[in-house]
Amino acid sequence: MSVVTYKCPNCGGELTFDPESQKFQCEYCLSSFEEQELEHPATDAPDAGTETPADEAVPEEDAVVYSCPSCGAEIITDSTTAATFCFYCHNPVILSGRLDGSLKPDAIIPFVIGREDAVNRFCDWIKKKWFVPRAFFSKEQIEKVSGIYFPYWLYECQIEGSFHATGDRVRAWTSGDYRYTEHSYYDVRRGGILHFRDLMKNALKKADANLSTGVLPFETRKIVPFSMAFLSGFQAEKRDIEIKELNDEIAGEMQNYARQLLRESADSYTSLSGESSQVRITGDSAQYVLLPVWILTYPKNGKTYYYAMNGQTGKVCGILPVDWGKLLLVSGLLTVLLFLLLFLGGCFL
Amino acid sequence: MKKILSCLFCFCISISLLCAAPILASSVPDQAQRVFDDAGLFSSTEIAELEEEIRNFQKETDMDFAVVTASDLGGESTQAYADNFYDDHGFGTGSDYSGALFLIDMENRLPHISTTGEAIRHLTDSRLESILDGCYGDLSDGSYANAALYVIRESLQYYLAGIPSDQYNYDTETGEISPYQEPFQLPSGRVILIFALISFAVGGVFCASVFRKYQMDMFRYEYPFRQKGKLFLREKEDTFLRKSVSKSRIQRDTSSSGGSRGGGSRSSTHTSRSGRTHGGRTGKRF
Repeated sequence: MSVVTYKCPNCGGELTFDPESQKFQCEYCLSSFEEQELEHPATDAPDAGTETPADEAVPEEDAVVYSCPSCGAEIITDSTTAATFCFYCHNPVILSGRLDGSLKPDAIIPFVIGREDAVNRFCDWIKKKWFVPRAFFSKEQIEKVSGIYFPYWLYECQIEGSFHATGDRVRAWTSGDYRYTEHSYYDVRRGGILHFRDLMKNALKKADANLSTGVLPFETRKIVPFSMAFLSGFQAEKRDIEIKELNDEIAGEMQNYARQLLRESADSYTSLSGESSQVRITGDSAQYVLLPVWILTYPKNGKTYYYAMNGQTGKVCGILPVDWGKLLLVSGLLTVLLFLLLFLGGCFL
Repeated sequence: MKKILSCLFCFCISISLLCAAPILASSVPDQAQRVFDDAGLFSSTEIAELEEEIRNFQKETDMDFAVVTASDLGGESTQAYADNFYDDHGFGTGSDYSGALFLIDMENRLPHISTTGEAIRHLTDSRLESILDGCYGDLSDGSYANAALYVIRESLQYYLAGIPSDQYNYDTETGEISPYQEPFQLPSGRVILIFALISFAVGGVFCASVFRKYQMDMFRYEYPFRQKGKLFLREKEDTFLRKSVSKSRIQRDTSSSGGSRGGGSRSSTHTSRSGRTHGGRTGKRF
C-alpha cells in the first residue's frame, strides 16, 4: 500500500490544504500553491513493493501497518482510514492505496472552514445555548477538534411514474334559506418523468449515523473533482458501505417522494380518493464523494459527547447536556409571569 | 269674669287645634308611608298590600320605592310632578337618593315611572318601556292596584337581573354620556384554576421543547424532495365524471326583540326643579 505526502517545491516541507485560502500552504517557508502547481506526491520507502492492481479486491485486516514517508515510523490505522497524521513526526500522510481504482472518490468538497474558524464556531454555538451548564464549556477541549473527510454516496435518479385517482371538487353557496353543496367528480390521471438529485447517504459503517446525517446538507454546487492533495492536513475515511447495500432503502424513499409529487400535481381538487400509483426507477447514478466534517470528542463529567460541524456550511449537531436547575427556574418564572398576566386580565374583563 | 272667659276660650281653641292636628298632620306623610293615593284609586287592603310589596322591594334592593296616584297635577307635567313628589318627600336611600316612583296620573291618564340614583342604571329606558307596556292592560281595565303591584315586582326582577354591562346614562339636556363602570371584582376560583393550568402547560411546553432541542432536534435532516425533485408531466387528464348537488336548510333563529328580561342599555336622564338628576319614562295613555 503506498503512502503519500505532498512536499513543498521550494523547501521540501509538508504541504497542507488551507481552507481559508483554498490553496496549499507550506508550514515552513509559508509559500502557497494552487492545485495545478503541485508536484507528484512523494511516496514511502521501497518496501511498499509492487502496487496491487486497482481492480483487484484486496483483503484488508482491521489494523494495517504503514510506513511514514518522512520519518519511516510505523503508522497504525483502521481499515477505513485513508488519510491521517504520522504519530511521531506529525506529518500528514495519505494512504493512496485506499483511494485507488474502484475506491477512488469521484468528487470532493474541500474544507471551507479552517481549524481556528471551527473552534470559534463551536465556542459560539455552545455559548449561545443558554441552558447548557456553565462548566461544560472548555476551550482547550474544543481545540482538539479534528477535520475529517467522511465518505458519502451522492445519489440521483430518474423515475417514471403514473398516478390515477378520482378527484372531488366541492363548491358551496347560500341562496335564500338553503345551503347548497356541489360535488364535481373527475377521473384524474397524471404521468411523467421525475428527476431527483443531491441525495446524500452515509457510506461509513463506524460513523455515528446521527452525526453524519445531522451535518447535512452540503452545497453540492461547490463540489470539485477529486484530488488526493485536498486531504493533506486532514484525516479521511474511505467507504465501507457499497451502494447496492443501500439500494432498497433509497428506492423506497425515492418512490415515496415520487408518489407525493405526482399526487401534488393534482392539486385543484378538494379531495382525492381511490388512489393508485406506479413508480419505477428508470435510471440512477451514484457518486462516491468525500465531504468535510469537523468532529469533536468532548469528554465531560464521565460522559463523552460527540459533535459534528459541517466543514462547508458550519452547521453543528450533537447532544448538549441540560442545566436542569436553570431550565426549571426559567420555566417557573415564565409560568408565574403568564399566570400574573392572565390574572390581571381576568380582573379587568 | 272676663279673664275666666278668655282662658276658657283659649283652652277651647287649643283643644280643637289639638283635635285638628291629626287631620292636618295626615296631609304630611308619615316617615314610612310610601303609597299616596290622592286620586282615591285603591282600597285600604290594596294600600296595605302595596306597602307590603314596597317593604319587600326596599329590603331586597336597598333602594326606595313609592306609588302615587293624582287627579290634579296643579299645572305640572306628568314627569315633573313625579320627580318633584319624589324630591319633596325626601325619598331615596344613600347619598344619591336611589329609588323609583310610580305615578298614575288620572288627569292626563298617563302612567309614569321616575328613577333616581342607582335605580337609573338598573331601570334602563327599554326596561321601563317594557314595564309600562306590561301594566297598560291593568290600567285600562281599571285594576290600578294590580298595575302598581306589577310595576313594583317587575322593577325588583330587573334589579335582581343586574345592571346590563353595556348600560350608559344619557343626559338629554347636555348630551353627555356616562357608561356604567363595573365594580372591581376578582376572578372566581374556577377561573384562577384555569389560568394556573394554562400557565403550567405553557411552562411545561417551553421546558420540554428546550430539552428536545438540545437532545434530538440537532440531528434532524430531511431530504427536501420538493426542492430537489422535479416533475416533468407528460400526461395530464381530468375527465369529468358526474356532479351531485345537495342542499340543506339553514337554521335561522327568529330572534325576539329583547324579551321581557332583556332590555337595552340606555338610561335617559334629565334634571328636575330641585336640580337633581332623574331618569324615567311615561307610558301610553290608558
